[in-house]
Amino acid sequence: MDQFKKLAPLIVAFVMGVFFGLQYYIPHPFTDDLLTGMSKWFIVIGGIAMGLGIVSLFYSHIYKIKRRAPAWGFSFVMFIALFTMLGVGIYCANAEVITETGKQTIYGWLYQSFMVPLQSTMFSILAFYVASAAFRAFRAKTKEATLLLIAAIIVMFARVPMGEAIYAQIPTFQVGGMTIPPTIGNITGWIMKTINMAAQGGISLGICLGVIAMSLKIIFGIEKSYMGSTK
Amino acid sequence: MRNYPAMILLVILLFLFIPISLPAQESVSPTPIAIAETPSEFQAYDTPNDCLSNISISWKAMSPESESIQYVVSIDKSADGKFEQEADKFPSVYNWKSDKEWPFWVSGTKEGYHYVELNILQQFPPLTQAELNKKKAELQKVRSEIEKAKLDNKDYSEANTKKLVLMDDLKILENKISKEKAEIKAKTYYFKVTAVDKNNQVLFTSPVLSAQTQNNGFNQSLLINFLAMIFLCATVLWFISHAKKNKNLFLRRINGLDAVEEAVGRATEMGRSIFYMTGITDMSDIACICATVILGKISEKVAQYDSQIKVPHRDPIVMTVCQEIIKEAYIKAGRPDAYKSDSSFYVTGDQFAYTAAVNGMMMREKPAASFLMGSYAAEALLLAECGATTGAIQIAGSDSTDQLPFFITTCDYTLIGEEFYAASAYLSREPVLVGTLKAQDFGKLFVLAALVIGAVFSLAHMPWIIDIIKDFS
Repeated sequence: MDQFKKLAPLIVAFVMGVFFGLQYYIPHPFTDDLLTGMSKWFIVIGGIAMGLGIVSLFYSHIYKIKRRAPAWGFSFVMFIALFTMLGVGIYCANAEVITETGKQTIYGWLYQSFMVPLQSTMFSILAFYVASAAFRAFRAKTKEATLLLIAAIIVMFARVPMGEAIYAQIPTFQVGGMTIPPTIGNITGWIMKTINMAAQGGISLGICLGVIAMSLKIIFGIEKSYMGSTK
Repeated sequence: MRNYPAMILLVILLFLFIPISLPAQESVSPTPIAIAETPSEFQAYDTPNDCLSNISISWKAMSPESESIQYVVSIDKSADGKFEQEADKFPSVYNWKSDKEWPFWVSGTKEGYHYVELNILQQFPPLTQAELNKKKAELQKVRSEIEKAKLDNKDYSEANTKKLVLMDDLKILENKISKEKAEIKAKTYYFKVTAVDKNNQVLFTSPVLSAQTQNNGFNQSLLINFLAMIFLCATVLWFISHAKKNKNLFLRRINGLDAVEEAVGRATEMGRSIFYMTGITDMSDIACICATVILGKISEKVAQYDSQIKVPHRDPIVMTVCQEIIKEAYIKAGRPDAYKSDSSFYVTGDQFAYTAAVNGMMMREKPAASFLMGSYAAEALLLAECGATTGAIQIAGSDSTDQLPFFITTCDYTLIGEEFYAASAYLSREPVLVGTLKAQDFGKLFVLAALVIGAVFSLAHMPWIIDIIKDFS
């Protein structure tokens, strides 16, 4: 029985892996329907697993409150938010409120009034983090870092309207049909499309081969540790 | 005295008669367009490599062609029919076969050929479709009535019975439609292509063409891709068997993975926890699976060093998998007693709520080490920068090329792309897994060779070679 328990997931992974790998090459309604069916199953399993997530969330916060862990008050906030949204979703699904923008369900209003501003706040913090990360990255300590700094200044210069306006003040002249110096847009385009794309292409190539090798390891049962079993 | 009334009458009569007396103007007909070369080589066939009910029609372009000349493709169920159903109409300078990204062994000659794809089910939709749509709308209405009755605490048993009847009807109709669709697809259809000028004057009519839809067993345009996959599979398997015999395969040093031991050791010395994130994707993403595999190796070290790991999750399935992995790692390290079931826990499914929660935990607990593995989006920098401010040693590994620059800037070590996928083999040093890395290197060499050959042949104006090697992209 133990042997079967270990073997069954490997057989499922192999059969499904080979079948859906081949499905990519077979444009038949039968294989197409099977893929659609499997995707639906995945959504169903995901829905059921959400219950597990809520149980985990519930216990971890109860534990925090019991132990008076640091910032345990936030656990209360979590429970209030969880049960409010749950209650409104179950009992007042169609109840509406009139807001400035028109009629809205209570659930929608709660989401729009609490979740959306909170999400926007988190996203806006990103701007400050980008600035601090850029400050660290663009210190010209080595040759490579200096090159990075120069490239970044040029690209940034072209991306902001003020930079473009300043660059436009530089006098240009024609040499053999070529404009010297080239426009900032052309320089940036070359950096992004030639240097940047070449580097990204190299990284993507490695990633693709890594993905293929990892998939094969899983399909052939060489890599089993994702199932919690290494034997 | 002049006779004014007579003169006025004469002028009026003159005006009245002038148009009659003038010779009738002949209607000016436009000069007919002279066709130097008529369209030819008409073909109708099942659209290759699709699983839809499409029919393709192609023909060699006529000369001259212009915006004012239009092609009309007509369809009929009978060869002797009137071909009154217009399936497509377009100016003769559009719809080229060369627009289709088919390799040469699928498309044949592409240049100078027009191409049209017609969906038979759109041309002849099942008769019961309208009835089905009507029933669906009815069911929707009944469902809303039930919802409303529930909210108003009213009796909705009648509506419920109606709903059940409608659902049964829908099932019957859906079966009927699928049978009808199969019948429609099985028939042979007839086509005619007509060239008309802007006055709808027929310039040319093709002979009657016939075709029937077919199920395709293999997508021929992916032939090279399929062969490359077989080749890569064989290479991986060969290198695995080779690695079993030769256990001392060379692996270049990856600093980020060498630093794992240092990070775990640091956490033990400082008596602080380790944070491990598996990314924002679920188990259907290979990067997430790879992150869980690396988690197993790191958890083993955590168990050996008697440290503590915390794995916050966005996806409950990943959480369950990670719980099993950590448990197994502790058992493997001989420390099952030290395992805590709450080390892997669910936070939320929302991207920024998750980020806020994890950042909060990091700020409060000040972890000694933080691992960011898997696929990330906008939250990458938020998590990594927050980790950096807590002073944690940070190791990131990702295949999200857009986020890699942020990780490189904010983390102490970053596993870039393929290094991330090589991590499990590198950490375990199992010959079988190391063998796959060798296969990866061989694959890289193969693709690079294809790139060089492709560039050379492309410069030599041999586009057919691009058809062969483009699947490597």
